[in-house]
Amino acid sequence: MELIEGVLSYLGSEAFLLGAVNTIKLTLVSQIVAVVLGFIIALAKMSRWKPLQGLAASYIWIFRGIPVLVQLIFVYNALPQFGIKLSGFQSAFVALALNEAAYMAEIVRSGLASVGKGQHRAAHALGMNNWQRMRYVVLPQAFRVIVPPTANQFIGMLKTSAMASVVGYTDLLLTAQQTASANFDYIDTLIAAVIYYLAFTALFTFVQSYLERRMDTTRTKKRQPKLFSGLKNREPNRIV
Amino acid sequence: MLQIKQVSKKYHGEPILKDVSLEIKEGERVVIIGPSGSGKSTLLRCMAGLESIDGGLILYNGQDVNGSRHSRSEIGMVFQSFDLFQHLSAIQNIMLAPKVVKRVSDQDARSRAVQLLERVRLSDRAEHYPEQLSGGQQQRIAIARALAMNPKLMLFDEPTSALDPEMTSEVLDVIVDLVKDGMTVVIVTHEMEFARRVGDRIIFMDQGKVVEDLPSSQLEEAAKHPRLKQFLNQITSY
Repeated sequence: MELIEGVLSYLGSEAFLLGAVNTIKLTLVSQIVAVVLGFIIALAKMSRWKPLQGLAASYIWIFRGIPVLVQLIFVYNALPQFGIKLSGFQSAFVALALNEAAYMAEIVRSGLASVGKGQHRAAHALGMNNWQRMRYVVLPQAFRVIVPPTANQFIGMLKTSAMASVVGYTDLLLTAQQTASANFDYIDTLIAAVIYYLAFTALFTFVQSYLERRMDTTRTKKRQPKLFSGLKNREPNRIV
Repeated sequence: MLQIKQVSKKYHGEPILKDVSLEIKEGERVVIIGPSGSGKSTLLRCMAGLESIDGGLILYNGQDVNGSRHSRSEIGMVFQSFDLFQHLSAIQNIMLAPKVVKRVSDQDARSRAVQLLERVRLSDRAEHYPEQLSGGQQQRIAIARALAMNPKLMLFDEPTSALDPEMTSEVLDVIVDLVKDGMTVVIVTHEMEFARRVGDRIIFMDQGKVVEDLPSSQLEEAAKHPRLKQFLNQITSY
C-alpha cells in the first residue's frame, strides 16, 4: 500500500507533471522535425543529380552509424568549443532530430518508391506539374506506406528522449533521478516515470491504429459494403 | 496539328528512334503498327511530351511539346497499363486533373465527369476504386479521365494489349465512338481488324524508323516493304 501511495504521490506531483510535459515536448518536436527533414533527404536521395544523391546517402550513413548518445554528447559538449552553445533541450532536440531524420529518410523513400512509374506518367500526361503530381497523386499513396512505420518511430523517439537526461534536460527520467537522489526512493520514482512512459506509448499506439484504420477506410471500407455486405449480414445468422 | 521533325532518341546508348518525321493533321486517325521494339510506343510517348528526345523537334500547333504544358493539356494519352490513380474512385480519377490543372470548380468537374462516365458506359461504377474494376472498365475510365481535359488529340498506347479478348471490344467500341465524333487519334495497336476499321492512315515502324505510311484501305495492296509483308503475314496467320 505504501508503495502505491508513494507512486501516486509522485505521479501527481508538479515535478513529474513537468517532467512528463518535457518528455512529450521533446519527443514531438524532434520527431516532427525529423519527418520534415526525412522528406527532404529522401527527395535528395531520389533526385537525378548525383552529388545530391551522394550528400543524402552520406547523411544517412553518418547519422545512422553513430550512436545517438555520442551525437548528443557531441552537440552538448563539443559544439561549445566551436562557439555554439546550446541548452539541454536544444542539444537533445538537435541530436535526436538529426539522428531520426536519417531513419525517416529511408521510410519516406520506400513510401515514395512504392508509387509506380505509371502513376507518375499518367499525372504528367494529364498536364500536372511536379508539385501537383506529388501533392495529389504520389503523396496520398505514399502516406499509406509511410504512416505505420512513422508511428512506430514516434514511440521509439519517446523512449530515446530519455537520453536527454544526460545533458541536464529535466525530462521524466531526470526528474525521477533527481527526486530519488534527495530521498533514495528509487523504486517509487522510477515506477512513476515508467507509468508515464507506458501511458504515452499506449496513447501513441492508439493514435497509430486509429490512423491505420482511417487510411483503410478510404481504401477498403467504402467498398466492403458493396462487395461483402451480403456475406457480412448473413454470417451471424448462420451461426445462430 | 502535330509535326514530328527528324526525331531521334537513344536509350542507354541504344538508338530507339532514328530520324523519324511525320505529320498528323487535324481529324486524322492514324494507326501505328510494327513489331515490338520498333519504337512505336516510345514515339507516342514523345508525342505526348512524356519523354525527352535527343534530336529533332516535335511541334503541336507550332509549339514544342516538351517546353509547354499548354500543349500537353491538349494532348490526351491512354496507356497499356491503364494507370488509374489507385487511391481515387473512378469519378475522382476523372475529376482530378480538371480541378488541379485547370482549376475547374468541383461542381463543374463532377458534372463533366458524370457525362464522361455515361459516354464510356460506366455510370454505375462512379464510386468504385480501380482495384474493384475489371481491366476493360479501368481502361474506359482512363479514357474518360483523358477526355476530361478536353484534348484535341488523343494518343492510345496499345490500349487493349493488357486485356482479355472479351474486354477488348468494350474498349475498342469506346474508341470507335470517339473517332466517329471527329477526334484526332493516334493509336498504337496489334489489333489489325480494329486498325483497318478505325484508321484512315497506317504507319508501319521497324527498328526505330517509319518504313511505310499509307492509307489503311491500301494496306495489303500497297505493302511493298518486305518487312511489312512479313509482319502482316505473321499476325494474320494466327
